[in-house]
Amino acid sequence: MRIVGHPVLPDLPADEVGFTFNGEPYTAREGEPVAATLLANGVRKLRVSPVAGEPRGIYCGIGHCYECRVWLNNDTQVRACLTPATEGDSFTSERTEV
Amino acid sequence: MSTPAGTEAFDLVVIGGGPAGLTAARDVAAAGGRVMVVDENHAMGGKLRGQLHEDPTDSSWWKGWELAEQGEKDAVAAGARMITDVVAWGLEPGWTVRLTYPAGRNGGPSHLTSRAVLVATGAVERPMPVTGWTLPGAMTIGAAQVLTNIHRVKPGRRVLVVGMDVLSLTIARAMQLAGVDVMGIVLPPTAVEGSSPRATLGRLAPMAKLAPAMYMRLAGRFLGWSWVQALASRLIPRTVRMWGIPLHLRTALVAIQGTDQVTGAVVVNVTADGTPVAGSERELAVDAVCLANGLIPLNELLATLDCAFLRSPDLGGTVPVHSDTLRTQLDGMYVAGNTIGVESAKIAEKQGALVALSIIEDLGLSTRRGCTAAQGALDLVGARRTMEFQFDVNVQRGHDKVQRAWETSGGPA
Repeated sequence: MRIVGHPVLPDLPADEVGFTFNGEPYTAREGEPVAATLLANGVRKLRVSPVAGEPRGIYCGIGHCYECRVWLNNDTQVRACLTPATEGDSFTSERTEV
Repeated sequence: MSTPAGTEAFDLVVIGGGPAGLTAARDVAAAGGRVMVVDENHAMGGKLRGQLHEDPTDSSWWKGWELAEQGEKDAVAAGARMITDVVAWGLEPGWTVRLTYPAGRNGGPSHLTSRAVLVATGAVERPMPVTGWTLPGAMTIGAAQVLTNIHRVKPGRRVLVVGMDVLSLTIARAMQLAGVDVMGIVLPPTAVEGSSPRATLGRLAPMAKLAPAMYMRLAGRFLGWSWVQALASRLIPRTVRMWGIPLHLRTALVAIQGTDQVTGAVVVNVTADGTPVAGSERELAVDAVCLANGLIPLNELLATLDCAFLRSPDLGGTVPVHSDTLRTQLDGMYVAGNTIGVESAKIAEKQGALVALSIIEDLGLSTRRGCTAAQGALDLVGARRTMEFQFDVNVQRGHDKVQRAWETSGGPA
């Protein structure tokens, strides 16, 4: 799903930041929000709604709707459409009880 | 990035580093002001960063990404400082800007104090609720723009666009350019206000009158004459093509389908007035549906203050009452960009330059420009008249209404 060889825009730097989502490893471009990396790898479903258990993914893409929220390092909820991964980050759909 | 102490006093804090905010930051910093820009995104530029279209005036590419980079560089070169990945969540008279860092990183100051604050928070999309719109793969047209032009990820392999306006047509073209199969553009569900074929063409047609020569050139070169003919005709054709993308002028979305993510969309034929034609429902196989229902000015921060608001459909929603020089009723509080009305980035940039003149005047900073904010306000009205396109052709009427409210209110509180 990556766009390469765009006819007008220059190519972006290569992937280099390693992180996991629900335990699976992914490699992000520096500064790229985690939702974009996941979509580039065909992952659209970021969590399920707490009551009905319905799937949720990117909706507004600009941090306004909070539909894409995921847990970062089991510690804090972040918006996947805005938040870039740093090396070794663990993102999850749900918070694990500790 | 330098981290200012929370006790450091600024002349201006700009909330939102889009074209309006960056331009104002540059000019106030160049006049000797201590300026800080805060933005929620990881990179400055706002929605300008994602804009990509062929400029009808000279056939050059309008590359928002480059313009955003340049805007940031110019503001920094002038002495403005920047914080990214930060949310401004509160304003207190005086002024104090409360900040939080959602990812718990880039630990900067918890607040900034400043003589002046510019709210340049832009706009958000008007939702289009429809069955299935919460499924992964259903997204706003703006999300598709950000994914395609900023992050360079395809919103889908085969995409349906819903809603016809300047924004959706431009972004459909940008997706096509990036190699996405844009299978067509249809109308919003019939329950959405103003979504009938007649109403939609009624909104698009005035574009042709706005700047006839330029529009016809644009139409002739890029859109194809069938589209212009459709705008002019009473009999609305079923489909016209723009850049080869089919615009289904008499087809409306019914529902988005899928279990874990989008796998299809149900559409139906509609009459000119938007009545569904029984038995014409059919399913289209798509993995993404992009919903376009216009933009709404975003100004939640100001709603927490003692500041009057005015509703204007011409401006896209509710905006804070302000002067034509972009002062609000609150001393030291200013507004610019789409937060006071949905317009193009070019206008936002001009508003940024104008509000800088007001701030420079009010703070007593030096300026070499010799142009007053009052003169700048008149220039803005002139610039609006020559824009090649507008989100709403009546946008100046909206601004005039705000100006009357400002004068009635007697200006600053």
